Amino acid sequence: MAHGKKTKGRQKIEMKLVADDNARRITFTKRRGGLFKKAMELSALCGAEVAIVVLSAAGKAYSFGHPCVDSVVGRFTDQNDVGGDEDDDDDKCNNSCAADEPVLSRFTEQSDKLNEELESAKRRGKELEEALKGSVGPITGDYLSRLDLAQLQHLKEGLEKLRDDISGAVGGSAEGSNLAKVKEGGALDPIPYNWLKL
Amino acid sequence: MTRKKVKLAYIINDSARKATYKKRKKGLIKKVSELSTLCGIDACAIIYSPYDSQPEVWPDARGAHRVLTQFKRMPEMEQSKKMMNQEGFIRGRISKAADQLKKVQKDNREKEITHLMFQCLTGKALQGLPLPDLNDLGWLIDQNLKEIYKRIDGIKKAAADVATAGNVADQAAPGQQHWFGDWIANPVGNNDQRQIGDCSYGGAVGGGRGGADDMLMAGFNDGNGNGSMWSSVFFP
Repeated sequence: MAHGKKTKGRQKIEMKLVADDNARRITFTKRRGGLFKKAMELSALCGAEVAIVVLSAAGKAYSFGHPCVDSVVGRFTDQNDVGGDEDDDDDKCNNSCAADEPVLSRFTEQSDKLNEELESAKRRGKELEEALKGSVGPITGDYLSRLDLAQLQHLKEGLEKLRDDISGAVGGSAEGSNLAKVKEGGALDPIPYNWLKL
Repeated sequence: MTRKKVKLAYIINDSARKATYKKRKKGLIKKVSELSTLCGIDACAIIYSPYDSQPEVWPDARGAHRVLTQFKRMPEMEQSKKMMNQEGFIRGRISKAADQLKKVQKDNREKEITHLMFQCLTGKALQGLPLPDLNDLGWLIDQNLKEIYKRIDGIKKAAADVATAGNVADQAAPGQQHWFGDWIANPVGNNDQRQIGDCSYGGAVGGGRGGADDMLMAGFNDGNGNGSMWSSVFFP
């Protein structure tokens, strides 16, 4: 059994109001997403009708419902309105708002696949960052700010030369103009016919 | 907790479905309660199933009504803005994941080309690189140069203000000449290069091109004697 873990992993958190404002906002967003995902799974796997309504600190309403929020909420409020007004919320939708199963299945597969790709892209990003580590610090982001004047000038000269070399290799300027090609002595692109109209 | 991946499809087996329902319903209630406590917000959950005549409600009927009244009081548009059903929810997840993926791929590409840029500065040949890589390399060089010019100007202006010319001259010490080779963790053997090389963009970076040493003279010796000058500077 290995001892040293790489990250702290899932930590037990205290069930009380999150003190830090920013952390609370983030917790809200993440957990709300997770909550709706669980609700979606429950409704899809077990055929339950679900409605969840969440009111944010800022006064916004987030809701999830299957087949739709209004139908379930309507059904709930109606059952308590014994013989009251004819509020047709629960008849409104007739399951037309529910996605059919093959669609849902396909979407979840797509979502899972994307997340896998995202994870592997992130891993690759870390590999690339490793390769970009250097004595002046990682050569990513704001690395230029860590260079002194002489280093900047040195790099400038190197890059300018490299840019010229590239123009030679590509056989033209960035615009790929025919004029540049003539200067380089390379072959010209065929002139488009509409030039001749001039 | 088992961690088997469950397909998101209606469970045909009656007893399995009922068992799943009980477990997941309990978990869902727990989650909504935690959300409310941790974030100090009002919420309610209503769950109907074929197993119970009464819906499962959180926090309780009264609490749920309170939240729902608040909800219904809001303008219709406010209610619908963040209202979701199964399909909408999943679509949202897909689009968010797709956006994130695009961004990470773009950042990765930039890192890749930056790596290529420094390899070229330390002797890797431009001949044989695929056109998309060359184009991206040119673009990145321009971006870097733009920023470099800005910074050099900034430093010179600041130095002029301080008016001590001596300091600037001191920095061009000969010992500094071997930077580019040192700057980038010089690939030890071919390991790094192979790692970078297996990418989906044409595998131009590193990967199978052999050591930079071989390319050195070929790439930079353009007859002006510049080849030899740069090689000693960039390649310790």
